[in-house]
Amino acid sequence: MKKLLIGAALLLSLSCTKDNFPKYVALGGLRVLAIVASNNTSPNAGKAEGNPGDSFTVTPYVSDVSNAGASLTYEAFGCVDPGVSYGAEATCTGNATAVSLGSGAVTGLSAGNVYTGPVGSVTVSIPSSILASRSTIDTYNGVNYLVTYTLTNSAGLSVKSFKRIPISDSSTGKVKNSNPSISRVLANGVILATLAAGSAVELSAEAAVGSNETYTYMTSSGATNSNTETLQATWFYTDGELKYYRTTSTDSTTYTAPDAYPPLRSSVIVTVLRDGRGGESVQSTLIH
Amino acid sequence: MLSRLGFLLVMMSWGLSAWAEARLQGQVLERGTKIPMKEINVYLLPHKLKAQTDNEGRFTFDSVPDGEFQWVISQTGYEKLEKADSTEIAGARVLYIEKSSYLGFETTIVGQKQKRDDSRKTLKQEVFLNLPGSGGDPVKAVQNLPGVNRVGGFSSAVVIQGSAPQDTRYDVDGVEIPIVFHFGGLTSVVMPEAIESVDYLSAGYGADYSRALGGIISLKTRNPDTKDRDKKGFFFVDTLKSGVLVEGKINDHSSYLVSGRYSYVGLFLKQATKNNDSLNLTVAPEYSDLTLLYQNKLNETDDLKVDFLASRDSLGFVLKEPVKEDPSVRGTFRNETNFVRLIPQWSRKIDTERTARISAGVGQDVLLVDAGDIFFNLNSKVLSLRGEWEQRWSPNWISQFGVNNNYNWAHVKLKVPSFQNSGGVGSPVSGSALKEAEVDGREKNIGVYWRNEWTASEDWTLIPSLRVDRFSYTGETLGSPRFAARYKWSESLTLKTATGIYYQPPQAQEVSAEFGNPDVKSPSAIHAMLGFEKDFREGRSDGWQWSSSFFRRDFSKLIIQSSDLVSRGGSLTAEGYNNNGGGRAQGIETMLKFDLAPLSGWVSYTLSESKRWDPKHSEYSFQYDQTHNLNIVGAYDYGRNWKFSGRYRYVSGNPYTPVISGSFDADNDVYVPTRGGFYSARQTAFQQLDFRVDKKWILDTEVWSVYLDIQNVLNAKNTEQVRYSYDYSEKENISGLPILPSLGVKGEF
Repeated sequence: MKKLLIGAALLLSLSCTKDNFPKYVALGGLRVLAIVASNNTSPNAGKAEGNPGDSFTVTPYVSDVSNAGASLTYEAFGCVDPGVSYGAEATCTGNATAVSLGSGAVTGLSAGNVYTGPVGSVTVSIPSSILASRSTIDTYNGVNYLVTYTLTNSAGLSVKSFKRIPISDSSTGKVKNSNPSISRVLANGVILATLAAGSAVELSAEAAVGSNETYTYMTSSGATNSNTETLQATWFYTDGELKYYRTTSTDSTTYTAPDAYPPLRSSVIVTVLRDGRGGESVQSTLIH
Repeated sequence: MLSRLGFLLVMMSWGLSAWAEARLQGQVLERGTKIPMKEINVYLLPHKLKAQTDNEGRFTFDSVPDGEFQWVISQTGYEKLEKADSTEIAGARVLYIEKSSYLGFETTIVGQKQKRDDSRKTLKQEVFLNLPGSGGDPVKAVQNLPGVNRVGGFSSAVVIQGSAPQDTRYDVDGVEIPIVFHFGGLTSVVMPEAIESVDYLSAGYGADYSRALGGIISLKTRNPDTKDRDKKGFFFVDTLKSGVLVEGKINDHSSYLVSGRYSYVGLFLKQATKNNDSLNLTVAPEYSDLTLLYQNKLNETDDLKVDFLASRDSLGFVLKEPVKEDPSVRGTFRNETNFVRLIPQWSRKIDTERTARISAGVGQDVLLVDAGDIFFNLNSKVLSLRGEWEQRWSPNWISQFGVNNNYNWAHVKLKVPSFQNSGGVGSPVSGSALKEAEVDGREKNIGVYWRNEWTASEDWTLIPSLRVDRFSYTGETLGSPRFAARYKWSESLTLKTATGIYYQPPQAQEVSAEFGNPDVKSPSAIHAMLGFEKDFREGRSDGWQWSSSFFRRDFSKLIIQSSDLVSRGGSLTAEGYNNNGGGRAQGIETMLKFDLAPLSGWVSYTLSESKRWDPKHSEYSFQYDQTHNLNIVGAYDYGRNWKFSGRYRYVSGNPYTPVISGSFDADNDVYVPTRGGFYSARQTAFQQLDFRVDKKWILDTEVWSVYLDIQNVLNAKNTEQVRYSYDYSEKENISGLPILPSLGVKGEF
């Protein structure tokens, strides 16, 4: 497995990608860019992690630029994670703990945000028994509550996505994970705003102080270790070109605006900042 | 009186002068190799003189008339030598005679009488060194034999008769080695020229081997060759690597062989990635290996041989940007795989009834993988022991009692994802649960066997055997009865059958309490084989041979990955692995060999099926289910040391699991595949033609060889893999190697 990992990395890096495959960060068709979970329950309000019995607001960030306002519906379910990180399919279907979190029309997308932005939230109530019969390691590191979110457009195309909400034992005294926060998105060192057609800038994401938390976790052998989060930003765009799709807090990527912007709509750059432990935040900037 | 005496003296001196004779000495050597030619006739014309060479190729003519003459040597298998000379030239002569051909190519397969195991097929060095498309590699050459499945992509693993790649065990002189190939498939870790033969053991293999559901690939190092010369060697240079081998005599009863190789493939890769600012090769990929062999015939009854093997692979690079489909794959990567083995082997022929053999393997394995946040560092000390007592009870009954033990002490420090590869479709590393631990592991695999060979009659030979294994990982003690029989239908036709039970211990991560399931047990298989061997040559050296057999394997308790939550130690936890897999593989394999000088080669064909099942998936085709597998290998000796050879392969496409959609994992910024029916799709058939030309130039004291090996001459676009867009909404086929020529030069001294 170890060799597979490193071999795959090398091969993927050296091999050629089919040119007409869609680019990961080029916005066009219907897709979900991020799903942010925010705890509603004190003392962990606003955090991405919680205790058994806590309530969360879950907000998907959706993009559907090409379909420009076509009607969308959603369907959301919640259940105790069946083991997605161990290979189980990311679905609540057939799960004894599954509950419906909501369904209906998607709201929040408009021409003003280039059909890219947060849509209607769902509320999630974590079962109080989620940690029952779990090992010490699981209760310390957290057992995930799975939220599945499926979008369907009028043409019948469905896009599936999911998010895990980690739930850990409050008695361990472990500090719960917070969502990172983007304080500024910079272009050549100044706050990103409109960009002239054809211009090239260095984009970087500045996180708010304290966003990259130091956290503790329990290893498989039961020891407690600490680590510091590495925040990673993913850059999405509607038009132009991007050198690197992802950056850390110490580096940047080159964005080149198109020689001519589309005449009938705006252009947007979306920055999604993740902490690698389920914490996310999103910032969308109109550049034209 | 004086004048008369003077006249007589003048006449005598004239007469002496007219009939003067010279004494000529010399030596006859084989051209290029300098091997002394013993007991051959040397003629001197027109004087019709003849001398015979001694054991060192030396000869003497005591009285050769003065003047010009001609040497003539005519020897079977050699070009006729006719060389002008003169007695006026002083000194001893060295005459070189040239072999008719220096390019050997036999269609091998050790004869029936020499085989201990009817499931065994053997490729000798003369074959695998010159086989087109195999680059001279002994293990790759095995892939041309019947019953060996083709593994796609860049892998060179040997998959035997519908088993899995991990069901094949590799050893050198009976001692297991951690890797058999450098960099996963480039070339074997021992220089091919230091290998005498490679054995391939398939369904129904004997009790002296175990712990492999599929079969065994066993490399046998050769003894240093000092039969004809005290010291010799060669060096070679090709497009990827260079190497040297030297062997020689230490004294009358001991000798040595030293060989080493170094690959500069990294220099090319570094050049190729020079302008890639996303990938920075910090440690260019390189490999090297060293083989030392020492052989000592201690006395009439005792032989000692000691192998020392060392191998090293290293690679390092920095990915500035994460892999687009998997953002956690980024940063600094480093991989090192090193191992050493010291393998002393001692045998004593006590008398005509009893022989004892003992060997050991002592060494260390080091595997370092650092991939960003993920790491796996293994340091392992290993000890293997093999011993066998052979006892002939009567002219018809011979037994072998043996032990075959492996001990392993490992220190592992790791932080790895619980990587899921269900249905052969990998889930992203980013979305997998990371597990971290530092563990000291100890593995003991003890095996004892008792093999009997009973010649029941002139026609029947029965081989009942029993093996008992104990695996420390599972705490199991398992008995494996095995039985083989041979019936000599006629001098040229032999029928054979073999069956038995086979067990394979789980891998460390499968039984680990932290990473797997400590309740997992050893999977097993029942093998059966029934076949025949027909030799149409009827005592001649050339002609046809035909062998064919039916094989079947029934697999039980196969270990499969599981994401189910189970109660373990009172807590719910991910099961990781269980023994709920099953399967079967069966087929007919046939091989037709021909030696029709100057043409030789073989045709091998296998018709087979391989199925698997588990509680969540009803019976499906296994990843290496290949209905048809055809290999045609041929060589034509054109003379004057030119040889042309080729290989054609046709193999049914491998089944694969299609991905029907992707689901966005918002926490990790990746799409997770949704798998369709397990191995419900199949790649297009594979076919490839390889071509090779060998030419040798024979100088008096050295031999120069050049070869051109062209893989995939027709540039066939064989699909090896399916690749998907980031959200699995689109896909494309990835082809294997295009036409790939390689050129090599070798100098023997």
